[in-house]
Amino acid sequence: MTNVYIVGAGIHPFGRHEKTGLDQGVFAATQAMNDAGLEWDEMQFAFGGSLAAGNADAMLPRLGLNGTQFINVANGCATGGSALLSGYWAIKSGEFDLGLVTGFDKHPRGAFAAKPKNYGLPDWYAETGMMVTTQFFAMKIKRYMEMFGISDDSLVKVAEKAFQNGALAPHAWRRTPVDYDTIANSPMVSDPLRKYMFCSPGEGGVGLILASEKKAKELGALGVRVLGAAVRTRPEGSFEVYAPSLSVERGVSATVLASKAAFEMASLGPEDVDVAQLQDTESGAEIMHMAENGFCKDGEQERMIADGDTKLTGRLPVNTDGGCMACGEPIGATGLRQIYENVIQLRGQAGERQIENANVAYSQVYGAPGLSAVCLLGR
Amino acid sequence: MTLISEDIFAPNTGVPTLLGGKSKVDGKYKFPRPTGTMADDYEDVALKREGTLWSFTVQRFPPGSPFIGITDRSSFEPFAIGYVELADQVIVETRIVTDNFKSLKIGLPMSLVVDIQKRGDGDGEFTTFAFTPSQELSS
Repeated sequence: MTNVYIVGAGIHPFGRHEKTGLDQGVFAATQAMNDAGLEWDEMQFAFGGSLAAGNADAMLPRLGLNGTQFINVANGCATGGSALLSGYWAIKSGEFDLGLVTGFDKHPRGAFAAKPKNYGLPDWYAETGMMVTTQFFAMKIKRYMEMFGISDDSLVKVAEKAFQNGALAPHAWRRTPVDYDTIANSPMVSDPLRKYMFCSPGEGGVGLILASEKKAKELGALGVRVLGAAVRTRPEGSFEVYAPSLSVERGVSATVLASKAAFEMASLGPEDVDVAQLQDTESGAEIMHMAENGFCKDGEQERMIADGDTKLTGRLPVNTDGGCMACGEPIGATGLRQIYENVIQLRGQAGERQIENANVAYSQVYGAPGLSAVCLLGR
Repeated sequence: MTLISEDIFAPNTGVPTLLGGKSKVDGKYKFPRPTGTMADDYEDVALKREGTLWSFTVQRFPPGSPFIGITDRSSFEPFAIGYVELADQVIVETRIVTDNFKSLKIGLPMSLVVDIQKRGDGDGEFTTFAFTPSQELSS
């Protein structure tokens, strides 16, 4: 089977924009093709996703109605990661040599609103005020802090780092650093999480061009290879968003499974990773995902964060473009934004936020109702 | 009747009791009791009325639709939400009735209560279940 390479990458800046989500997607896809020196007519397939900005294949009339197969992907917040995985399989199988993976979105302000029936849940669960994603994240980190000795100080420091990194990333939404005290004194949203510790629903688009080894060689673009990619759903006993009850027998999360699978595919371990983009829906998620993805033991985050290990200058830089907290979360694009950032880091094009000697890059996106997509890239 | 759903409470128990489902396959408990095609795989089980707080948070902003409580920012009052572990059965997500958010801590003994809340549309009230710190119930 062939290796799979990322030979083109494009992004529409995240944030709030006048233009439609669809136009942001087309912008990113076109930029990715230009980046690879390719045109739409050369693409053999496309996988695309958008949750709130229309069907991804509505891009077709803008890209060109040439008959290319375009498959819409929908997998919650892991839509981007799932689109990437679909493209990866298409090429890995030997069926195709070249294709586009894309995602875009545009959400209204405020927390995501979900319909219980879409998740197989009774109406009363939402009607009584319990079906709110922010509550889940708050309760997960609350228990984690108690069990493993994570402090409020660490929650603040993770957010502070996000905005520092975002300020250095041209595609980020929040590009102004926010100081420690402002974060620590911002209004409580869902205890123990405060306003500046949460990401916001936003807008943006990403495009990536995937190629087989043969095609990548032809293009002279053997720069970034997909080393492993996996999506896993929630196992029994995990603690996930939108769960009216949990088993008393506790187990591991979907992220643990996805991470393990991707590392096995790549024949690598967490110690080999030079830079990581981890789902940071809020400060607590980044902290917990450090352990769930195998980068530390539960509780070690407290010391790592105090020592600056996850900063740009640290041992394991995490969320080098500011992650979801600084970039916002357009659901169809967010997982691909992580991969875009890793491509830029591996190519050495990340400017002021460049991680020196980045050879292996890791990304993980988490979505409702409990799935995780992991992608390992290398150069 | 303002009960939010007929499926929450077990019938004919004298005191309000949550209706759970116990899997006929693996003996695991679920709340609410599964319905539809899964219903036959579960038997009715009355859940314990006492438990311990497993985790919690405070909902500081009005939830969006389809929440039916008060969402008007001027009259919205933050409320606590948590998971209560019912020993050897299941961990249940619940509204928490308390006068003091600061008193909440993991491991706190909790008791089931009936919770009556105002509807946001002005059309009376809705009744659901909640847990409250057992010490607040006895004081």
